[in-house]
Amino acid sequence: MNRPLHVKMLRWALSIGVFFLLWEIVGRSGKFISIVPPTVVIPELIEILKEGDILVAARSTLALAATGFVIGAVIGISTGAWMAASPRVAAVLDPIVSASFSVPFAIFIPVISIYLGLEFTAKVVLVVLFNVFIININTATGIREVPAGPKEMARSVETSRVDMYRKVILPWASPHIITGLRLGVGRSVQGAILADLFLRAQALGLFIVDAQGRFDIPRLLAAVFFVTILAAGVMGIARFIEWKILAWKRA
Amino acid sequence: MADTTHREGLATDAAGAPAVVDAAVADAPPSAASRPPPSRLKALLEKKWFLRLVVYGGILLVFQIIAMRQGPFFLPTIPDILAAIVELFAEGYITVMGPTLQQLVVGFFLAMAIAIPLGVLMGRYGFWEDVLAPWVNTIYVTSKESLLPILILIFGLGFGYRVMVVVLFAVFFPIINTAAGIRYVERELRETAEAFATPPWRMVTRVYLPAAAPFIVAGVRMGLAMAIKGMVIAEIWVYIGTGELLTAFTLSPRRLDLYYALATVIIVVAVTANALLKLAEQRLRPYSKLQRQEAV
Amino acid sequence: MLRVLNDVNITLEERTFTCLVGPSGCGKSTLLRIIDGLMAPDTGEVRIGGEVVTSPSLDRGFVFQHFNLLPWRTVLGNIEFGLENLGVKKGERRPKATEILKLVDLEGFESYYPGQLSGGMQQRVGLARALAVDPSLLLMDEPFGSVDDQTRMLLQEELLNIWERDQKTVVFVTHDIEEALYLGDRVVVMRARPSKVSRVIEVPFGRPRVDEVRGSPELARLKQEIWDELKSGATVEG
Repeated sequence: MNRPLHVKMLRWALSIGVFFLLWEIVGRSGKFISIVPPTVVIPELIEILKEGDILVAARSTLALAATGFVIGAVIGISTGAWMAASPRVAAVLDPIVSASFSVPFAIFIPVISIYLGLEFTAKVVLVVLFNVFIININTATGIREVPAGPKEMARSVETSRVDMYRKVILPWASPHIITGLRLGVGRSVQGAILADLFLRAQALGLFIVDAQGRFDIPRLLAAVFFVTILAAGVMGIARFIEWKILAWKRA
Repeated sequence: MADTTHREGLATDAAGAPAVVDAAVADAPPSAASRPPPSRLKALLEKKWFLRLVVYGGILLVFQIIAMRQGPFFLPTIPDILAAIVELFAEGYITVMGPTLQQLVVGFFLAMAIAIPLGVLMGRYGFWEDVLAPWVNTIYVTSKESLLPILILIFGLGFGYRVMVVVLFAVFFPIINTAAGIRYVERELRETAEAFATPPWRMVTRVYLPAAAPFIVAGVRMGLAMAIKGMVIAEIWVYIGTGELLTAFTLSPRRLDLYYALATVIIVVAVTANALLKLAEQRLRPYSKLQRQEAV
Repeated sequence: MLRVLNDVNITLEERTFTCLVGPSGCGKSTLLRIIDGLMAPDTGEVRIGGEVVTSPSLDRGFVFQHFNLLPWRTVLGNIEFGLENLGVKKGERRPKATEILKLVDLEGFESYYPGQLSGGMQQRVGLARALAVDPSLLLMDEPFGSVDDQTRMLLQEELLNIWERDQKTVVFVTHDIEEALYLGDRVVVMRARPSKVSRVIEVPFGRPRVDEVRGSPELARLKQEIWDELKSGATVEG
């Protein structure tokens, strides 16, 4: 079941092309007022890009994502490492980590604003809530899966505990941790967009809400389109960086 | 060392023997030679339930103390919250969850009806995998929340909107997990089954279904978690249903006790649903490590 | 609870090559780890030079069956691992490691990564790493168990060549009776169920070992004896 790359790319192009065609047809038909054809949306997108406001907004939202990512990475990696090293800490924190998957964090949105306000701090907390668990799980798993052999070898030459982590465990676990960070980037971007939409409409969120309020549908669609491409772009860059860093594994 | 004699039995070399290994009786896992039995407290500290009790009990205690000092406008006390849970049911607030859950279920089943067949197609046929991959990836990458305004435009503010949001959120994981399961069968089992001339119907019931079932259930479980997330977000965004109630309790008049009560109920429902599906998944649990590795 | 070792009572001489032979499950690998200090016995003790062994030491080198190399370090980087713990400064580590590299016949492979090496070469790195800290005791846990037959024979010869040079005390664990007889001065035969030492055999062949020993009738006879010993143990205990 292995197709050559050019066949795959042809099919991707076909699929995307059919979608845009259908979109165009439905848009033109006027059946749904809210579906505006791509031939209107794309020029609109170019327009707003030229205006520049949306780029400023993007910078702001991305800055929020980046801040939340860094904080979440620090918390996630340290707690993940701690949980992997100490079964007791793991016993206490495991329920929270498992629950994090099924609990809809959105229910806390109304109350975050009471305790933390609607500004940057509250939004950063939301972003961290989004990314910290995936980073934690990947770190803990990565460290737990370091095989016993290399650790035994290090012990046989009197390696200190600190050195054991520095020279054996963390390097061995690093691919897993880096993958966790990559996933964390995606989650941070999504969290930041959520925060800028729900907590208080700002930056990219404001742009969208604004267009919605004006009933400027082409602008709205263009904005959403832009946000999607932005998120995809950031995640693509993260994947690329991950690929580069893990190059030694493939050597 | 041209000595040709063999010495039987246990040899003790009298001439300056530097290394002695004496009666080593090692039990696995090895432990120190002599250790006093651990005290009761220490043994307890090893038990998970005890640790959790202490830590979470401690947190609840701190919560309670802060609540008592700061007053209900800031944080309700635990008895307040418990009373509020009763109030939710007594005053009928809880009925608002009715339509919410109803549309959640409709959206969820609709999502499964879309996702599982698509997953099967993608797993079985390379063509469909290539064609659908861009869209599946797009769903993963998009901020679904940013799509809400568009959905509102198309579907309005009621039934259609909520169902579609749930579908949008829920559809991703079942697709890729089902595809992974089918791919697993394709790779490992199909040839063998064909070699035994298995008729197509049996292929589905005896080979594909049991082998792919753990994957599919895992995907469905994750899809349900996402469905619940989607439903909450959809409602909070436009102040309808349960989401509206949650938000209203934090505005004026502020009833944080009711808020925490409702949040608790939602969390309990979500965690229970997830746990039930996890149980089902474990019943169908992969018989091999390989299957477990394949699932997302 | 599993009782891994029972009633082991042996004494080893300095500068001798002792082989531990036995079937899987007889506890020979566990015994080796207890000697090194990687594991602690429940009762009894190990004394080296009069001192009781409680934890691993740089004075005892350990070579592992599955090499346990660090995949992100080059060959030289792996060899230097023990030297780092010894406190040897960076400038001195490199030349020392390079010297040992020559000893195990891997000159030219300094910057290679373990992933690029064959099994036999990886084990040579493992051996070099253990030798780099110049331990007085060398413990080897089925070191040639993960390589193919021909490589194994080559490695055996190389090991003997290296050993001849400074004649460290070696304890070599293997399940291969021929290997034990070819390499060792003495062979300690261990049994499983219950695990214990059943015999110690003095190996009659001279040093340096010559290739002809491998096919000699004497070796075949000793091998048969040991094999009988191990077999009888198995049937009696049932």
